[in-house]
Amino acid sequence: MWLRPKHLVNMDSVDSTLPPRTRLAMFFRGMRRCGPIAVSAIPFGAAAGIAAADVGMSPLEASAMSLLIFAGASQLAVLELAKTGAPPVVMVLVAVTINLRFAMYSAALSTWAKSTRRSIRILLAYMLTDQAFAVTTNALLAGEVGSTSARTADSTATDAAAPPDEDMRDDTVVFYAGAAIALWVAWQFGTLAGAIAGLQAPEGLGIDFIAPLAFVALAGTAIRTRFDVVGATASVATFLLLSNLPYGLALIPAAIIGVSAREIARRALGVSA
Amino acid sequence: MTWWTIPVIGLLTFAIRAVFVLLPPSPRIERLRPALLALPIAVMPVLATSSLIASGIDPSKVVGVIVAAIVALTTRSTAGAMAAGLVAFWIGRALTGEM
Repeated sequence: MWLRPKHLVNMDSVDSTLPPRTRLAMFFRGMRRCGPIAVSAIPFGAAAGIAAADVGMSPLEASAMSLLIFAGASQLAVLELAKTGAPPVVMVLVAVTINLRFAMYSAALSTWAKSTRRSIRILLAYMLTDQAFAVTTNALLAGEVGSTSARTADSTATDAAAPPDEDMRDDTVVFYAGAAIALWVAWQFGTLAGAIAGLQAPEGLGIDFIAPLAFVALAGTAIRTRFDVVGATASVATFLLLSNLPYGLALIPAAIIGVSAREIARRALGVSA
Repeated sequence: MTWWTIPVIGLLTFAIRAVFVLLPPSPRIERLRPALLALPIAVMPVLATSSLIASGIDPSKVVGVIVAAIVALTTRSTAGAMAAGLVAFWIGRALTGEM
Protein backbone atom coordinates (compact mmCIF):
# COMPACT_ATOMS: atom_id res chain seq x y z
CA MET A 1 0.00 0.00 0.00
CA TRP A 2 2.74 2.44 0.96
CA LEU A 3 4.58 1.81 -2.28
CA ARG A 4 1.70 3.19 -4.30
CA PRO A 5 3.04 5.71 -6.81
CA LYS A 6 1.79 9.22 -6.67
CA HIS A 7 2.05 12.21 -8.92
CA LEU A 8 4.81 14.65 -8.03
CA VAL A 9 2.75 17.77 -8.48
CA ASN A 10 -0.69 16.66 -7.38
CA MET A 11 0.04 16.25 -3.71
CA ASP A 12 -3.68 15.97 -2.96
CA SER A 13 -3.45 12.32 -3.83
CA VAL A 14 -1.06 11.58 -0.96
CA ASP A 15 -2.57 9.09 1.46
CA SER A 16 0.16 6.52 1.90
CA THR A 17 1.98 5.54 5.05
CA LEU A 18 5.69 5.20 5.77
CA PRO A 19 7.30 2.42 7.78
CA PRO A 20 9.38 3.68 10.75
CA ARG A 21 12.81 2.91 9.30
CA THR A 22 12.03 4.69 6.05
CA ARG A 23 10.60 7.59 7.99
CA LEU A 24 13.80 7.95 9.99
CA ALA A 25 15.94 7.67 6.85
CA MET A 26 13.84 10.38 5.18
CA PHE A 27 14.16 12.60 8.24
CA PHE A 28 17.96 12.34 8.21
CA ARG A 29 18.01 12.78 4.45
CA GLY A 30 16.18 16.08 4.94
CA MET A 31 18.71 17.05 7.60
CA ARG A 32 21.62 16.16 5.34
CA ARG A 33 20.20 18.07 2.38
CA CYS A 34 19.69 21.13 4.54
CA GLY A 35 23.03 20.69 6.34
CA PRO A 36 25.20 23.02 4.23
CA ILE A 37 22.43 25.65 4.19
CA ALA A 38 22.00 25.29 7.95
CA VAL A 39 25.74 25.78 8.48
CA SER A 40 25.66 28.90 6.31
CA ALA A 41 22.71 30.16 8.39
CA ILE A 42 24.89 30.23 11.52
CA PRO A 43 26.74 33.46 10.57
CA PHE A 44 23.41 35.04 9.62
CA GLY A 45 21.98 33.97 13.00
CA ALA A 46 25.10 35.39 14.59
CA ALA A 47 24.40 38.69 12.80
CA ALA A 48 20.95 38.75 14.41
CA GLY A 49 22.53 37.97 17.79
CA ILE A 50 25.12 40.72 17.36
CA ALA A 51 22.39 43.18 16.33
CA ALA A 52 20.43 42.20 19.44
CA ALA A 53 23.47 42.79 21.63
CA ASP A 54 23.96 46.11 19.85
CA VAL A 55 20.53 47.34 21.04
CA GLY A 56 21.29 46.23 24.59
CA MET A 57 19.67 42.79 24.68
CA SER A 58 21.20 40.06 26.80
CA PRO A 59 22.01 36.69 25.18
CA LEU A 60 18.94 35.25 26.94
CA GLU A 61 16.69 37.96 25.47
CA ALA A 62 18.25 37.50 22.03
CA SER A 63 17.60 33.76 22.22
CA ALA A 64 14.03 34.36 23.36
CA MET A 65 13.52 36.62 20.36
CA SER A 66 14.87 33.95 18.03
CA LEU A 67 12.67 31.30 19.62
CA LEU A 68 9.53 33.42 19.40
CA ILE A 69 9.99 34.89 15.92
CA PHE A 70 12.44 32.53 14.17
CA ALA A 71 12.59 34.67 11.03
CA GLY A 72 15.99 36.22 10.35
CA ALA A 73 15.17 39.16 8.11
CA SER A 74 12.32 40.41 10.27
CA GLN A 75 14.39 39.97 13.45
CA LEU A 76 17.15 42.11 11.98
CA ALA A 77 14.64 44.67 10.70
CA VAL A 78 12.97 44.97 14.11
CA LEU A 79 16.34 45.41 15.80
CA GLU A 80 17.31 48.11 13.31
CA LEU A 81 14.02 49.92 13.99
CA ALA A 82 14.59 49.57 17.74
CA LYS A 83 17.88 51.41 17.30
CA THR A 84 16.06 54.34 15.69
CA GLY A 85 13.46 54.42 18.47
CA ALA A 86 10.58 53.40 16.20
CA PRO A 87 7.19 52.80 17.87
CA PRO A 88 6.24 49.14 18.47
CA VAL A 89 3.37 49.35 15.98
CA VAL A 90 5.83 50.19 13.18
CA MET A 91 8.06 47.28 14.20
CA VAL A 92 5.09 44.91 14.12
CA LEU A 93 3.94 46.24 10.72
CA VAL A 94 7.39 45.91 9.18
CA ALA A 95 7.91 42.41 10.57
CA VAL A 96 4.51 41.26 9.30
CA THR A 97 5.20 42.77 5.87
CA ILE A 98 8.50 40.88 5.61
CA ASN A 99 6.99 37.63 6.84
CA LEU A 100 3.83 37.63 4.71
CA ARG A 101 5.56 35.39 2.18
CA PHE A 102 5.35 32.54 4.69
CA ALA A 103 1.63 32.33 3.86
CA MET A 104 2.59 30.89 0.47
CA TYR A 105 4.85 28.32 2.07
CA SER A 106 2.04 27.52 4.49
CA ALA A 107 -0.22 26.62 1.57
CA ALA A 108 2.44 24.20 0.27
CA LEU A 109 3.02 22.69 3.71
CA SER A 110 -0.71 22.07 4.07
CA THR A 111 -0.55 19.72 1.08
CA TRP A 112 2.64 17.98 2.23
CA ALA A 113 1.25 17.44 5.72
CA LYS A 114 -2.33 16.72 4.75
CA SER A 115 -2.50 13.42 6.61
CA THR A 116 -0.40 14.56 9.55
CA ARG A 117 -1.86 15.15 12.99
CA ARG A 118 -2.93 18.74 13.66
CA SER A 119 -0.50 19.27 16.58
CA ILE A 120 2.44 18.12 14.44
CA ARG A 121 1.29 20.35 11.58
CA ILE A 122 1.31 23.35 13.91
CA LEU A 123 4.85 22.55 15.04
CA LEU A 124 5.98 22.12 11.43
CA ALA A 125 4.36 25.44 10.51
CA TYR A 126 6.32 27.21 13.24
CA MET A 127 9.54 25.99 11.60
CA LEU A 128 8.70 27.21 8.08
CA THR A 129 11.63 29.07 6.55
CA ASP A 130 12.73 30.05 3.06
CA GLN A 131 15.56 27.53 3.19
CA ALA A 132 13.61 24.50 4.45
CA PHE A 133 10.86 25.25 1.95
CA ALA A 134 13.35 25.55 -0.92
CA VAL A 135 15.21 22.35 0.02
CA THR A 136 11.95 20.37 0.21
CA THR A 137 10.60 21.83 -3.04
CA ASN A 138 13.86 20.95 -4.79
CA ALA A 139 13.71 17.42 -3.41
CA LEU A 140 10.12 17.11 -4.69
CA LEU A 141 11.07 18.38 -8.14
CA ALA A 142 14.04 16.00 -8.24
CA GLY A 143 11.80 13.07 -7.30
CA GLU A 144 13.81 12.49 -4.14
CA VAL A 145 10.64 12.61 -2.09
CA GLY A 146 7.01 12.12 -3.01
CA SER A 147 7.85 9.24 -5.35
CA THR A 148 8.01 5.47 -5.28
CA SER A 149 11.75 5.40 -5.93
CA ALA A 150 12.41 7.54 -2.89
CA ARG A 151 10.69 4.96 -0.74
CA THR A 152 12.12 1.81 -2.21
CA ALA A 153 15.67 3.14 -1.80
CA ASP A 154 15.44 3.14 1.97
CA SER A 155 12.91 0.35 2.58
CA THR A 156 13.09 -3.29 3.53
CA ALA A 157 10.58 -6.09 3.82
CA THR A 158 10.51 -5.51 7.58
CA ASP A 159 9.47 -1.92 6.99
CA ALA A 160 6.62 -3.04 4.80
CA ALA A 161 5.23 -5.14 7.63
CA ALA A 162 5.48 -2.32 10.16
CA PRO A 163 2.21 -0.77 11.31
CA PRO A 164 1.36 2.61 9.82
CA ASP A 165 2.14 5.67 11.90
CA GLU A 166 -0.60 8.18 12.54
CA ASP A 167 1.67 11.20 12.96
CA MET A 168 3.62 11.31 9.74
CA ARG A 169 2.39 9.41 6.75
CA ASP A 170 4.18 11.05 3.90
CA ASP A 171 7.88 11.10 3.08
CA THR A 172 7.74 14.74 1.94
CA VAL A 173 6.65 16.03 5.31
CA VAL A 174 9.22 13.84 7.11
CA PHE A 175 11.96 15.11 4.80
CA TYR A 176 10.77 18.67 5.41
CA ALA A 177 10.81 18.10 9.19
CA GLY A 178 14.47 17.00 9.02
CA ALA A 179 15.43 20.04 6.95
CA ALA A 180 13.45 22.45 9.15
CA ILE A 181 14.89 21.12 12.42
CA ALA A 182 18.47 21.31 11.10
CA LEU A 183 17.91 24.93 10.22
CA TRP A 184 16.15 25.74 13.49
CA VAL A 185 19.03 24.35 15.56
CA ALA A 186 21.64 26.21 13.47
CA TRP A 187 19.70 29.46 13.74
CA GLN A 188 19.24 29.27 17.51
CA PHE A 189 22.90 28.39 17.99
CA GLY A 190 24.01 31.22 15.70
CA THR A 191 21.87 33.80 17.49
CA LEU A 192 23.10 32.80 20.93
CA ALA A 193 26.73 32.74 19.79
CA GLY A 194 26.32 36.13 18.11
CA ALA A 195 24.68 37.68 21.15
CA ILE A 196 27.51 36.46 23.40
CA ALA A 197 30.19 37.55 20.92
CA GLY A 198 28.47 40.89 20.35
CA LEU A 199 28.79 41.77 24.02
CA GLN A 200 32.53 41.12 23.97
CA ALA A 201 33.45 42.44 20.51
CA PRO A 202 35.91 45.35 20.48
CA GLU A 203 34.63 48.69 19.19
CA GLY A 204 36.98 48.75 16.17
CA LEU A 205 35.48 45.61 14.64
CA GLY A 206 32.44 47.61 13.52
CA ILE A 207 29.73 45.20 14.65
CA ASP A 208 27.09 47.78 13.76
CA PHE A 209 28.02 47.07 10.15
CA ILE A 210 26.94 43.40 10.39
CA ALA A 211 23.22 44.18 10.00
CA PRO A 212 23.60 46.28 6.81
CA LEU A 213 25.85 43.55 5.39
CA ALA A 214 23.27 40.88 6.20
CA PHE A 215 20.56 42.86 4.40
CA VAL A 216 22.82 43.44 1.37
CA ALA A 217 23.57 39.71 1.27
CA LEU A 218 19.87 38.84 1.54
CA ALA A 219 18.94 41.35 -1.15
CA GLY A 220 21.70 40.10 -3.44
CA THR A 221 20.63 36.49 -3.14
CA ALA A 222 16.92 37.36 -3.57
CA ILE A 223 17.42 39.33 -6.80
CA ARG A 224 17.42 36.91 -9.72
CA THR A 225 15.63 38.49 -12.68
CA ARG A 226 15.50 41.90 -14.35
CA PHE A 227 12.02 42.33 -12.84
CA ASP A 228 13.55 41.88 -9.41
CA VAL A 229 16.02 44.65 -10.26
CA VAL A 230 13.11 46.91 -11.25
CA GLY A 231 11.30 46.14 -7.96
CA ALA A 232 14.40 46.64 -5.82
CA THR A 233 15.32 49.91 -7.55
CA ALA A 234 11.76 51.26 -7.24
CA SER A 235 11.57 50.38 -3.54
CA VAL A 236 14.94 51.97 -2.70
CA ALA A 237 14.09 55.10 -4.72
CA THR A 238 10.72 55.40 -2.92
CA PHE A 239 12.39 54.92 0.42
CA LEU A 240 14.95 57.64 -0.27
CA LEU A 241 12.24 60.02 -1.48
CA LEU A 242 10.18 59.41 1.66
CA SER A 243 13.12 59.17 4.04
CA ASN A 244 11.84 62.21 5.94
CA LEU A 245 9.03 60.08 7.35
CA PRO A 246 9.79 59.22 10.98
CA TYR A 247 10.64 55.81 12.46
CA GLY A 248 11.40 54.08 9.18
CA LEU A 249 7.75 54.35 8.16
CA ALA A 250 8.88 54.86 4.55
CA LEU A 251 9.56 51.12 4.39
CA ILE A 252 5.88 50.24 4.00
CA PRO A 253 5.11 52.44 0.93
CA ALA A 254 8.54 51.54 -0.46
CA ALA A 255 7.71 47.83 -0.26
CA ILE A 256 4.30 48.36 -1.87
CA ILE A 257 5.78 50.47 -4.70
CA GLY A 258 8.61 47.98 -5.21
CA VAL A 259 6.30 44.97 -5.45
CA SER A 260 3.90 46.89 -7.74
CA ALA A 261 6.71 48.08 -10.03
CA ARG A 262 8.04 44.52 -10.34
CA GLU A 263 4.57 43.21 -11.14
CA ILE A 264 3.89 45.97 -13.68
CA ALA A 265 7.23 45.26 -15.40
CA ARG A 266 6.48 41.53 -15.43
CA ARG A 267 3.04 42.00 -16.95
CA ALA A 268 4.22 44.64 -19.43
CA LEU A 269 6.63 42.11 -20.86
CA GLY A 270 4.00 39.37 -20.82
CA VAL A 271 5.73 37.06 -18.37
CA SER A 272 3.19 34.90 -16.58
CA ALA A 273 5.35 33.26 -13.91
CA MET B 1 11.13 48.45 22.59
CA THR B 2 8.18 47.47 24.78
CA TRP B 3 8.03 44.03 26.40
CA TRP B 4 5.11 42.92 24.21
CA THR B 5 6.60 43.83 20.82
CA ILE B 6 8.54 40.61 20.27
CA PRO B 7 5.80 38.23 21.53
CA VAL B 8 3.24 39.97 19.28
CA ILE B 9 5.55 39.73 16.26
CA GLY B 10 6.20 36.09 17.12
CA LEU B 11 2.50 35.36 17.39
CA LEU B 12 1.63 37.12 14.13
CA THR B 13 4.53 35.44 12.32
CA PHE B 14 3.34 32.08 13.58
CA ALA B 15 -0.23 32.92 12.49
CA ILE B 16 1.03 33.69 8.97
CA ARG B 17 3.01 30.46 8.89
CA ALA B 18 0.12 28.37 10.14
CA VAL B 19 -2.78 30.05 8.35
CA PHE B 20 -3.16 27.55 5.51
CA VAL B 21 -1.97 24.64 7.57
CA LEU B 22 -4.99 25.10 9.83
CA LEU B 23 -7.44 26.62 7.36
CA PRO B 24 -8.13 25.47 3.79
CA PRO B 25 -6.08 27.54 1.28
CA SER B 26 -8.22 29.99 -0.63
CA PRO B 27 -7.90 30.00 -4.44
CA ARG B 28 -7.63 33.78 -4.16
CA ILE B 29 -4.28 33.45 -2.41
CA GLU B 30 -2.85 32.04 -5.64
CA ARG B 31 -3.43 35.41 -7.27
CA LEU B 32 -1.36 37.08 -4.56
CA ARG B 33 1.50 34.59 -4.87
CA PRO B 34 3.81 36.78 -7.05
CA ALA B 35 3.32 39.80 -4.81
CA LEU B 36 3.88 37.88 -1.57
CA LEU B 37 6.98 36.14 -2.85
CA ALA B 38 8.34 39.44 -4.19
CA LEU B 39 8.09 41.18 -0.81
CA PRO B 40 11.64 40.27 0.30
CA ILE B 41 12.99 41.50 -3.05
CA ALA B 42 11.44 44.91 -2.39
CA VAL B 43 12.10 45.05 1.35
CA MET B 44 15.69 43.79 1.70
CA PRO B 45 17.37 46.50 -0.42
CA VAL B 46 15.43 49.14 1.55
CA LEU B 47 16.52 47.64 4.86
CA ALA B 48 20.11 47.50 3.58
CA THR B 49 19.93 51.17 2.59
CA SER B 50 18.29 52.34 5.81
CA SER B 51 20.58 50.37 8.12
CA LEU B 52 23.64 51.53 6.20
CA ILE B 53 22.53 55.16 6.53
CA ALA B 54 21.76 54.59 10.23
CA SER B 55 25.19 53.07 10.90
CA GLY B 56 26.93 56.00 9.17
CA ILE B 57 28.43 55.81 5.69
CA ASP B 58 32.22 55.79 5.28
CA PRO B 59 34.49 54.57 2.45
CA SER B 60 35.27 51.24 4.16
CA LYS B 61 31.56 50.46 4.53
CA VAL B 62 30.86 51.38 0.91
CA VAL B 63 33.62 48.97 -0.19
CA GLY B 64 32.23 46.30 2.14
CA VAL B 65 28.71 46.72 0.77
CA ILE B 66 29.89 46.59 -2.86
CA VAL B 67 31.94 43.45 -2.25
CA ALA B 68 29.04 41.79 -0.36
CA ALA B 69 26.59 42.68 -3.15
CA ILE B 70 28.88 41.28 -5.86
CA VAL B 71 29.50 38.06 -3.95
CA ALA B 72 25.78 37.66 -3.18
CA LEU B 73 24.76 38.22 -6.80
CA THR B 74 27.41 35.89 -8.21
CA THR B 75 27.56 33.07 -5.66
CA ARG B 76 24.01 33.24 -4.15
CA SER B 77 25.62 32.62 -0.78
CA THR B 78 24.38 34.79 2.09
CA ALA B 79 27.12 33.68 4.47
CA GLY B 80 29.80 34.05 1.81
CA ALA B 81 28.62 37.55 0.93
CA MET B 82 28.58 38.62 4.57
CA ALA B 83 32.05 37.19 5.18
CA ALA B 84 33.51 38.79 2.04
CA GLY B 85 31.89 42.15 2.83
CA LEU B 86 33.17 42.08 6.40
CA VAL B 87 36.71 41.20 5.34
CA ALA B 88 36.67 43.99 2.73
CA PHE B 89 35.39 46.39 5.40
CA TRP B 90 38.16 45.40 7.82
CA ILE B 91 40.81 45.72 5.11
CA GLY B 92 39.43 49.17 4.30
CA ARG B 93 39.57 50.17 7.95
CA ALA B 94 43.10 48.85 8.33
CA LEU B 95 44.23 50.76 5.24
CA THR B 96 42.66 54.00 6.49
CA GLY B 97 44.13 53.47 9.94
CA GLU B 98 40.74 53.24 11.68
CA MET B 99 41.39 49.77 13.08
